[in-house]
Amino acid sequence: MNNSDFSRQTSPQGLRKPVSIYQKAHIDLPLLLIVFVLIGLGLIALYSADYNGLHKFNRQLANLSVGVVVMLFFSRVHPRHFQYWSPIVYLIGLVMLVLVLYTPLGVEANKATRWLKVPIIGRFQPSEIIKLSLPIVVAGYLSRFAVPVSIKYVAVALLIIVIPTYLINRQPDLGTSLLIAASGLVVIFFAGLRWRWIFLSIIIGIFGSIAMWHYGLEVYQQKRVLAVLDSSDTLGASYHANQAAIAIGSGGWSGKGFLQGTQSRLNFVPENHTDYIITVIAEEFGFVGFLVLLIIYLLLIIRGFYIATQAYNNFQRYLAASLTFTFFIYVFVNIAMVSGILPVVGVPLPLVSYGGTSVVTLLASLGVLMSISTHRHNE
Amino acid sequence: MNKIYVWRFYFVLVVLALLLSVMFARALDLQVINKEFYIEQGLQRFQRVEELKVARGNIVDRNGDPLAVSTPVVSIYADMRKVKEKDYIILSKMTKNTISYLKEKKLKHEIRLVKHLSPEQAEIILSLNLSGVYSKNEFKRFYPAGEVIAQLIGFTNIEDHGQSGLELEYENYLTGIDGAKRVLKTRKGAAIRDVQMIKESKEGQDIQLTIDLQLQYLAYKELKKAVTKLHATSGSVVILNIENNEILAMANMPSFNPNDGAQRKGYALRNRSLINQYEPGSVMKAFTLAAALESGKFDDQSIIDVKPMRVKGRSTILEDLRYYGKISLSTILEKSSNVGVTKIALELGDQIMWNQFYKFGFGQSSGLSFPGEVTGYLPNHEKWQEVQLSSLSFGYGITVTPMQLAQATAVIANDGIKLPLKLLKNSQIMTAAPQSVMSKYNADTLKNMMFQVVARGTGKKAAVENYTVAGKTGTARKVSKKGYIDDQHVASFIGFAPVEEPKIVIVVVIDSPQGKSYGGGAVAAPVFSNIMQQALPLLNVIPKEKI
Repeated sequence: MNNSDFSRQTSPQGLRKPVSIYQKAHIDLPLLLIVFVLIGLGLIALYSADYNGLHKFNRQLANLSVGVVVMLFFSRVHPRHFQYWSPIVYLIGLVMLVLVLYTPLGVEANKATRWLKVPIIGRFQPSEIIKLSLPIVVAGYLSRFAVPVSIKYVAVALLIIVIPTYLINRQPDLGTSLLIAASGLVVIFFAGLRWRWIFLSIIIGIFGSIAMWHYGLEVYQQKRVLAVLDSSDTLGASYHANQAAIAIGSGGWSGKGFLQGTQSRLNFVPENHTDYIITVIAEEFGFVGFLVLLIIYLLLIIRGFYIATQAYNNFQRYLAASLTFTFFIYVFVNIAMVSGILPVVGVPLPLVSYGGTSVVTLLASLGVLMSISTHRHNE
Repeated sequence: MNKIYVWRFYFVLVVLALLLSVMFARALDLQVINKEFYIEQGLQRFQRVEELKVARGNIVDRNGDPLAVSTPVVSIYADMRKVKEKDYIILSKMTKNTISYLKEKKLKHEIRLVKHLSPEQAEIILSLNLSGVYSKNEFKRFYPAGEVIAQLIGFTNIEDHGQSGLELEYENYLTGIDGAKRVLKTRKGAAIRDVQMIKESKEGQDIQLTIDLQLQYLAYKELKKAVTKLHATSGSVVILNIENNEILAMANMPSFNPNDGAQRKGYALRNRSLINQYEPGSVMKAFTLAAALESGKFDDQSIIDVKPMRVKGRSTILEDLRYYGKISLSTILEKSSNVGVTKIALELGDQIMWNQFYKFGFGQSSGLSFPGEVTGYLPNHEKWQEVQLSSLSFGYGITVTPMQLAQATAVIANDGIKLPLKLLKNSQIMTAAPQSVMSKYNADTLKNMMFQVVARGTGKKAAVENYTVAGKTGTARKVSKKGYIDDQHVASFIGFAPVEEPKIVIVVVIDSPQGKSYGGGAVAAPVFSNIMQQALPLLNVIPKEKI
């Protein structure tokens, strides 16, 4: 194995393991399998939820196809290209966010201005671009400095995070803005922020959320938060949470069986295609089905962190860890929201919920993860 | 790997494990520990118990023509808590409720917006898909024959329970048992599928009457014509089938349209044929003669001097319109001689008279158990005074119902055999055994006497072309607080045809006819004749050949 062709492979792992055929094809097989299983579960649930004609089911198939193609494409792109291009994409995203908020190009729906109307392409959410590019930008930036990173660089990174977070929160889209902020903060955490700063920020975070409650939240958002604490207002703010809890709870140990769910399928649960799709799984497949889903997510997280530990350099490590952790936060926030332990914030269940751009963005981020996984040997 | 990372990864893993356990615990809490609660809550939300309304049984006539039917209708209801305020305008327009009414009922979970629409009309409102608005299938009672037989059939209230007439009498029989089933429903209330039958439904049973709607129409039409023309206060016609005592018609005036709730009140509701008792007057002479013949003390050869006479206890001398001399029983009936029947009654004595009247059914229930039915009054005094016996012999001091008269007349027509009245076509229950009231020989004798009444006597106007008719007229003065009054009468006619082989009995009673003619022979007999004339051909009774 001392062939000169491999002389550039100086990392110890690269020398120990031969390059597999999957690696050459830039496919991380465990990750790919997990993704397909999740997609499959999602389609089963959607099939059940979409009992009127399967329009959404078919559209989801199309969205997923596009997403998988994007994922496989991204997996072939070397991570350094992401590092190079991400600031530009990030800036374009910022411009779009400004356009959404302050020009007529923004499209309002459900009292929120989240969509940008672009000729030919149609409408999409610029926040998705930020979602994808922000962790890459922060990771790229912080990876240039020695660990632990000095506080002034952290401040710059925070600025990179805060600007889009603020803009997205103005739309308003609190859930997305918090998740985007989290994806950046995770990078800062991994980049070696000193523990004292971490504890300080936790304290600031607590006071910050109190301030946020009074000045940053819309009334409907406050109501949703309160609904978690008091679920007696069954037809008002707690309606979503109660219906979902009933759907999940009535599934019992092993569920009512495929297509037999009543709460989730008969329109009692709101948004049963998108944010609340787990109610379908929990009701029809019970606690067992829920556990299976959780385990599959856990496998994905483990694989993601494994990729992070095996990554070629700090940038890739930060990025992989951030993408994985963000993915996990999505899962947690969604399940916690649906099962009534977090306020309703409108976060889809990754790869399972019905969605357009969000599905593509998620698969793209997994493509980045695959790229990190498969490019560690041939820098 | 750098030590810093190791620590941070451990930290992250701990956070991850914590969050995972939170999710796990929550799912365990919902799906395993508290599942009963949530399953129950779930059932409450999507399973509804739906009533299975069954139709009330129909009432039909002897030929199956409908007299009371239940038609499926749809009523529109709303859960006002779920109705959106912006829908009030359209809802108010479609259901003819004012907006202020809707606002007032804002918090009610169930109000009825419109009742009894046809399924097509209901669909127009339901197709608007307004939230909170739903429908229930119900039944509406409809009476195709309307006023023609209104009092006998009766009617039901809004809850479909019988309120009067046969609807009340046979309530338990007609009413089915509403079932209930559990169904799956969507949030909007549309039933998806059945889950479980909770209570089996049982259809209400139909009732077939002995009534012949054609004859009923005929009787009602003629009665109405006469009552209207004579400005009478009321009237009744009863038709019986002599062969088996089936009631073929029972018409009453005034009447009402049972399909119109507003008309369901007052005297018009009374089924006079069964629940009005009155002093019949001279028609009773036929039964006095029956007693005479049955006693054996008189026969068709007996001759009685009907000279005006004193009766003990009576302030005036009893006399007929004129003195007819020494006449036969037949002539007594023909001329309707009060003196004649008084002499017979005094000769027979109170017990024979009372027994015979009682055997004919007077003073007794008809056995039909019709709601509000009366038995009439057949007095049985401890010590009869002459005047009481005398009055009884020509139909005063006794009250009867038209139905009792019809049944008693049928006895004469049916060779002296009294059969129980029959109103339900398929009923096997005999309310009473056939009873011999008088011998066939005496019945035939009396029949002939009654034939003479129509042929030559007071009942000439009861004659029917091409058929032989037997009958008896009656004109009773009405009683007021001050005693008998001279200008208000009840005119009656009892009779049957054809005499050789009697087919039907018709009793006509007209209360308080106004004008110069008021007697049974003048006002009741023509009604009898008109009905009989049309009824016999309908019943396929072969007419006598014209001579």
